[in-house]
Amino acid sequence: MADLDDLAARGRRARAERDAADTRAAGDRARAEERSRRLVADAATVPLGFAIAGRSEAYALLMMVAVPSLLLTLEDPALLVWPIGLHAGILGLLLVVKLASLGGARREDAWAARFPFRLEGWSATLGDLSGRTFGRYTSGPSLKLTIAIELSAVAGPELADILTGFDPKAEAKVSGARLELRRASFPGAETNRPLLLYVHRLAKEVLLPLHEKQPIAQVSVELAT
Amino acid sequence: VILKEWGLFLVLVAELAGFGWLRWQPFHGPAVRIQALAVQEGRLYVEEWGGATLADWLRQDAIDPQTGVLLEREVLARSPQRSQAFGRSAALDPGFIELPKRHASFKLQDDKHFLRTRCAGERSTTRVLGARDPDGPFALSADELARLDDQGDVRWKLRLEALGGAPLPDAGAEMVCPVRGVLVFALDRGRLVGVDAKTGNVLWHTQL
Repeated sequence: MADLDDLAARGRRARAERDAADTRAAGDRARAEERSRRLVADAATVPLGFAIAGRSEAYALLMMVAVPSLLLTLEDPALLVWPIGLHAGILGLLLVVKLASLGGARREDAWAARFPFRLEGWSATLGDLSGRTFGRYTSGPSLKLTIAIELSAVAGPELADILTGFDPKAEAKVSGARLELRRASFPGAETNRPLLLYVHRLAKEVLLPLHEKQPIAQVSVELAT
Repeated sequence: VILKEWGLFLVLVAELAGFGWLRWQPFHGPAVRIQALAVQEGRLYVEEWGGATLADWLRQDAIDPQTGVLLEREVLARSPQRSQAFGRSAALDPGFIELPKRHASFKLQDDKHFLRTRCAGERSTTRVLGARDPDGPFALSADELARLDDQGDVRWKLRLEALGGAPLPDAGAEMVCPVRGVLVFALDRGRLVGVDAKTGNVLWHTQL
């Protein structure tokens, strides 16, 4: 009997340990995903951010510089000062870009928080590159941008004209208190920098002036493939 | 995530370190072989061959005739037209020796010191470049000479002693020289110069 009790106690302990390990692993995964999202979001806030966004394609670009440089060593070691200078320059440039991008996602969150309305999940959207490929001209133009603006009162059809005036390539639709802007071929890139620039311009030219005329409750941005 | 975030920086730093090491280390890439050299009035003419593009160039080293120390190095020509640039028969002293592609060795024969060369791939070909009375100021003991392997398959030691004349940079020191393609020699009006065939550096020179 005592043996069975021991086994049961051991089983409970094992289950508790397993559950704790699962929780830890899930926490680690979530933290890693969050860091990854933040890295991509940070990269979107600076020009040349694609090089520091953790995309493997940046290594391919680097190899295009490194391999011919290595071949130079077979030709004449004295020529190596050029690739050394080039690599040092690239490293310096990347460091500048990296330093400039640090805290970019937080700055974007702070920027979104200053609005008198809610801008839903802004830095999370900036940190999402799912479905994207490297080439600007492959998956890039096929991205679909949807910006939904929830107004505090029913909107008039003239608001759709404002959005079309802001972006003639976009389709604008009003339904009740919801104003929606859809763009079927949003220019993609290796980071979400085009989206950041687009939304910043939208906020400055449309959202804030519109909010003064007709209060906005919430804005959500979605970029999908 | 750390690799994702900093991996590119790490690769760049590693590449920079690698390139820096390649740039400033004494040996660069595939061995550059000394194809030929000659000594004339304190100037050492060296023709090198090597590298991925099989580039040839000719350089001129000014060496101190007393100590053998390299004073100045100048690349004279670097082109496929090396023969014209070198002007090997016209510009240089008649004592100019075209040196072996890979091997050079000493040989004692009939109580004389002979400097013999053998080209790679031509095992049977030897050429006598110079001869010297064993009692002369350049001393290479008969025992040591006898240890030289004509096939070039063993390592041998060459002991140089300064006996009058110009002092040797490595006087009295033993130099261990792998036979294959490491040392090449030039002989010019009594001056013998040993050059590292990989680096082109003058190892020693002396008056015969």
